[in-house]
Amino acid sequence: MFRKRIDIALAALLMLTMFGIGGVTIAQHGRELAYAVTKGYVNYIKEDGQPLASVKARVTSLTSTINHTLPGVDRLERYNILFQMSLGKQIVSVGGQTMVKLKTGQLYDLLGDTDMTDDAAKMAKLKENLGAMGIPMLYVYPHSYIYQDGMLPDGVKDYNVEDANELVSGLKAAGIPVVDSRDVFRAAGLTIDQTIYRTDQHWATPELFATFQATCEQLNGMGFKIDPSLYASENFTSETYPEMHMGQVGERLGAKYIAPDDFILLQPGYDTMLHKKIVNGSATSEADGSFHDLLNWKLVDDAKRDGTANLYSVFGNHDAENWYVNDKVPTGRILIAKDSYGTPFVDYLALTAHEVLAVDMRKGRHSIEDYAREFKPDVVIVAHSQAMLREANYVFVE
Amino acid sequence: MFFFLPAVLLIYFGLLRKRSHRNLFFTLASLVFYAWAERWFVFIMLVSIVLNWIFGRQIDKNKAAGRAKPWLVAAIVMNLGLLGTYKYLKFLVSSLNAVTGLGIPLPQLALPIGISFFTFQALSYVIDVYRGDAPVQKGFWNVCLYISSFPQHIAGPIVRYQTVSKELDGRVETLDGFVTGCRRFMVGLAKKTILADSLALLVNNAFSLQPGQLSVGAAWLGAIGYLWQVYYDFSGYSDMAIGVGMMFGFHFPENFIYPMISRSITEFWRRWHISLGTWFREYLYYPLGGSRVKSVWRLLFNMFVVWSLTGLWHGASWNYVLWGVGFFILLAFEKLTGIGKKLDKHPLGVLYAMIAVITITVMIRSSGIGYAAGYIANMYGFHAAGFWDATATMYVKEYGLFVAAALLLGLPIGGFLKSKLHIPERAFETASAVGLVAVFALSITYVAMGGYNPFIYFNF
Repeated sequence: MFRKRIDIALAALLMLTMFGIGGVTIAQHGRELAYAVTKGYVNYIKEDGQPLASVKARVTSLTSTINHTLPGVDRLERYNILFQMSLGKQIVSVGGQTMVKLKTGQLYDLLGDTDMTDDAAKMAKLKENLGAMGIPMLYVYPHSYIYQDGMLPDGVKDYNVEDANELVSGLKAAGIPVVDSRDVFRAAGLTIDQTIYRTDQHWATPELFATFQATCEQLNGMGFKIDPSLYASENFTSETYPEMHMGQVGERLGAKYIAPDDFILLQPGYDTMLHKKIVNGSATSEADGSFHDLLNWKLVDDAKRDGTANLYSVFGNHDAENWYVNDKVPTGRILIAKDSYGTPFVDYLALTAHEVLAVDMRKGRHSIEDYAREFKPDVVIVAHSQAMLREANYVFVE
Repeated sequence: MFFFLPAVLLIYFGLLRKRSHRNLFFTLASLVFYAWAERWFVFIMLVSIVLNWIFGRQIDKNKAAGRAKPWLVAAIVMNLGLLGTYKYLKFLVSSLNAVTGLGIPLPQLALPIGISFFTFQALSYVIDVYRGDAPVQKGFWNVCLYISSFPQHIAGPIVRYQTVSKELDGRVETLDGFVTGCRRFMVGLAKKTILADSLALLVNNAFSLQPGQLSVGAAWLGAIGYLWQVYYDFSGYSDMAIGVGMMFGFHFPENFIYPMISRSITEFWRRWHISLGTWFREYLYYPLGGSRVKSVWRLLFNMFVVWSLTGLWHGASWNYVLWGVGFFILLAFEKLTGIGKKLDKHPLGVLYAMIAVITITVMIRSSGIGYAAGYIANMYGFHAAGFWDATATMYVKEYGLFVAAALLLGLPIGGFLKSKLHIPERAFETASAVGLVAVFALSITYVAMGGYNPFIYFNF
């Protein structure tokens, strides 16, 4: 009898939890969920001719929306991470990621051993198809970098460097010009503190800016005519926001586990005028203004008010498509396929060409080949980190 | 979990009263559940169900006249043909290419989730009807309900038709069953999210290293982690399936009964994935003659067939076949020498059984036979990176508590503590409930954190 009463109480707890979380989600986010099924799903359609592609996209869209709208999901995540940290773990599972806390304090997304041959072959095929359209291709490789020995916790093995070497050599063997960010910050003498954030695995502004400059040099070497003054360091001003940046992962792990980062923002000192159009499925927004005007300053205000914010997003969110038209530069059309590393990179790239179309391959609707056919760029840049490249079957070619 | 199950519970208990309505709704919900994960393949499942329904009726109709056997054969051929096409065709072609040097293009067919499970349930239906162990279902929807029932159709337990045939129409949903089912569901959820998924991190790391990079200690920790990961993953799913079944008035068979205390391999398979063992015993081993045969060679043949097919059932690769054959060798050894019965009485039998199972199970986690051989060699000190290294220390620091908890909770400690410490019933029940509430809360944080960790047996 006592056992039965306990079972009734446990059953009530289970039902309350399930109905409570489900009910509150629907009550608070019903419209978002409906949007995900009726409209937002177009972001998830890959034009690969699979049967029931629309149904599949609607299910994926709804699942994704549910996952980030569950009430209290951030708090529950934090509790979980607190639990893991209370066990003294240096390797923390954060959703689908395995984050390692380096001895120098940075969080690092541990990468296992993966054969990158197929990824390099996919790029070779893209180069070949673009070549048939008379469009050259450049690969910009952003690396979440460990170049000092002994920074990983003892016993942890990582395949980031080996797999990057395999990818880059495969790309070069296919005749694809590569800007390898590792070469860039070796040459620039950047240290680990300057290359990746402690609170995220994303690259910090000095590294991405140096890689942007190297990309411009590379493009000029390929016959483009980018005005060097548009990317010269002396024409940019630098501002530091000390201990204000908490990358997405850092936000979840909390400042007590991993201290906030300094955030450096580089802005052009010369006059700029850009039109920016953001496309996410059927939703679009447009803005005009200088480089400065188009940054999300609200986040900086948030950081000043609250102590920290995810300042990486000052450059924008990882939208499906970002279209830039630069009134100050008369020529040049660049199509860039990118992931989250490319988001700030593209803002700087937009200073150097008349039109830049940036497609986030996780959300874009077409293959990059189709985008090229439609947009007719002078060059296609693929800027994909290794983690993204190895993870998903993004559609680069038909 | 927060949408599908509550919605089904609400409609099933809140809006529907008649058994036929409840069954129809439960069946449709099961098909939606499957389609959520597999979209296109739900039609494959439906085709299988329709054909099995027709075969079942024809078998029943022709039984009295002694003309049912061709229909049974046709049903078996159809079911195994479906399973063979989707699961084994690629394996067969690649094996043929490897042996003959031919370059036959490999068929690119995706594997529908749970096809091995629902095919075996479908076979159980037609065979049980043929044998007269359970009545035929005249209506289509009850066959559909039996084969597609959402709590267990994608990863078991494999419920034999005769076990639940009466419950399809005659089950009674009770408060007792409902609350017991809820408790069972919570236990399963905790097993999967806290233990299995945490052990997976250790295992993924160990098996991402090349043989030769592992010390003996690290290799053993990875292999132990994997066996217990599979145990908590699969038994967690089974608990959840049994629990959800109980909420709706079904009584699915137990699938695991503390397999880690087994003192022989024979005992291990009486406690591990019981529903699969029962299926093979009832529908293959006994029809082949079982152990009541005149010659030892025939006995060995019967066992070999059953165990190599058990391996193949788990996956279409030589790794799985060798895994099954490995168990065949050990079981044959125990049976022929009689050592199994002796070990059953000796505590050291646990050590023997676990070492053997841990070692053999490396086979199904490995990317190939060569890798498995290298990994097992490392475990036993051949070409290993020493006896103990920094990686092994890291595994202990990072995952040691999870491994310890997994090892401990795999034992029947509840009953042991209760009897040894003379804990009063009420105190014991209260402590168990408090513990369950704590792990349930923790498992909700894991669910909320997301990260797709599919059940291992979805792939089998």
